Amino acid sequence: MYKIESNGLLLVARQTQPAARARVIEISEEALLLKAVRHGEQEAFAKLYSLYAPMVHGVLLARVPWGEVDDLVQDVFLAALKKLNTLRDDAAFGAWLAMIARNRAMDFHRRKRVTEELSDDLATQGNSEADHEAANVLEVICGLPEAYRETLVLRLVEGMTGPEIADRTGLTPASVRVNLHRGMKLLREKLGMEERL
Amino acid sequence: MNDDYLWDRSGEPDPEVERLERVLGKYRYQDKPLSPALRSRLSERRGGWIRLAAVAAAILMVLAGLWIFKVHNKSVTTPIQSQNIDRPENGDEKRAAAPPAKKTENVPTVALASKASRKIHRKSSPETLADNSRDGDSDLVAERQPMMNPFIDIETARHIERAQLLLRSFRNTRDSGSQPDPDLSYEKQQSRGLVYKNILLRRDAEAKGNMPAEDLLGSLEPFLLDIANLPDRPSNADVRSIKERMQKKEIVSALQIYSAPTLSQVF
Repeated sequence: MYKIESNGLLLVARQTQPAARARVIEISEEALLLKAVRHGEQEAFAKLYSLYAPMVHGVLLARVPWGEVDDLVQDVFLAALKKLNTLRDDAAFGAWLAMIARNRAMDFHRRKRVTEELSDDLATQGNSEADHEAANVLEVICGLPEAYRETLVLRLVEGMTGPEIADRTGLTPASVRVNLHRGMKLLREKLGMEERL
Repeated sequence: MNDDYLWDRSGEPDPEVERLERVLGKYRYQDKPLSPALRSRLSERRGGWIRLAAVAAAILMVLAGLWIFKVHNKSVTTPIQSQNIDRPENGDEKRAAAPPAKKTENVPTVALASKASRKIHRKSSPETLADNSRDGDSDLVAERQPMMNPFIDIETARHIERAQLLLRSFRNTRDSGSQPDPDLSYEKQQSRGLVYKNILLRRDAEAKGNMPAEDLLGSLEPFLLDIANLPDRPSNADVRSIKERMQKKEIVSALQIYSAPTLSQVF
């Protein structure tokens, strides 16, 4: 639902849903934060970090072992900070950061192959049954196609809602919704199969 | 099953999704402080900006200093070339004031000097006139005034006023009788300064297409040259001939007419 308003000079299209309004405000806030970060303000960077770290964490967790993720999150933000001057559109910061995270995960696997092969579930090993179940479910999710894997991790692990995922990763809400639906269906099938087995 | 809960946690909770959320919650991102590498990178970024700003400020200051020095040099140390000006022959005054060989090398200097020296004398009383003429524009107040007269700007008006005072003073010198020849060294000195200024202003007016000012300054120039090139103790005949020409051309009245409206608006 859009409402067309005129302020005499411009026609402004406003989405009347509260979620969309919040998104518009957030984008402008991000732009301000990015401007401050470009000037080296630590506080602004810390805020930006806390806004986007869960997304980066989820993107990485869908690709690399859990024990490596925390370090890689910092690496991703470090790389982003170095390349911040190359970001042309501040509104696309989320998508840009997600792309850096995906590339960083690919780099991680490339280097791992060169050095030594680590067991993926090394870091996820635990003693309790809950830990074991969690590691299992995560492994199943990581076996899903990439598009579903990432969206499901962001939803089920990081606890982000669909609109939040769309906002942070730069994907369209429709794509996120489809990925969630299809990914969940696949996950249910795979978990059901495992349960039967 | 309705996907609303999966989408945005609205609607009826999906038990399976809830269970997965609970199980996988242990992998959720935990807030951690920024790593030292990130902090140092941010500090570098801030330092980089400060360094950049400092370098830019230093460059600007140097450029501003050079510019001020250049402008100041142009306006103050332009050489007076009165010694190059020969006494003109009758009817050939303009050519004598600006000899062709000198003209080409004077043009840029004149253009710059005329721009730089658009400043106003605070004092223009007869007492200070001599000092002003001698020092050029060194004691001028750096201040611009709007042009009051469409043809004569304030700088030209000041110059005309000084020339007028000089010509009046010259007109009042003795040119007859049995007393020794008059001492005109003071008038000559003033006239030399005014000749050079007159050339600058005339060329400026010419460049701007200001015909009335150009004509007026052009007709003033021969008198200034004549006075500047008089011997220190000129004969009465020399003085009288200049005075006669001044009277014939009515140069003092013309100067008064042109300078009065502008200066009256300034004060």
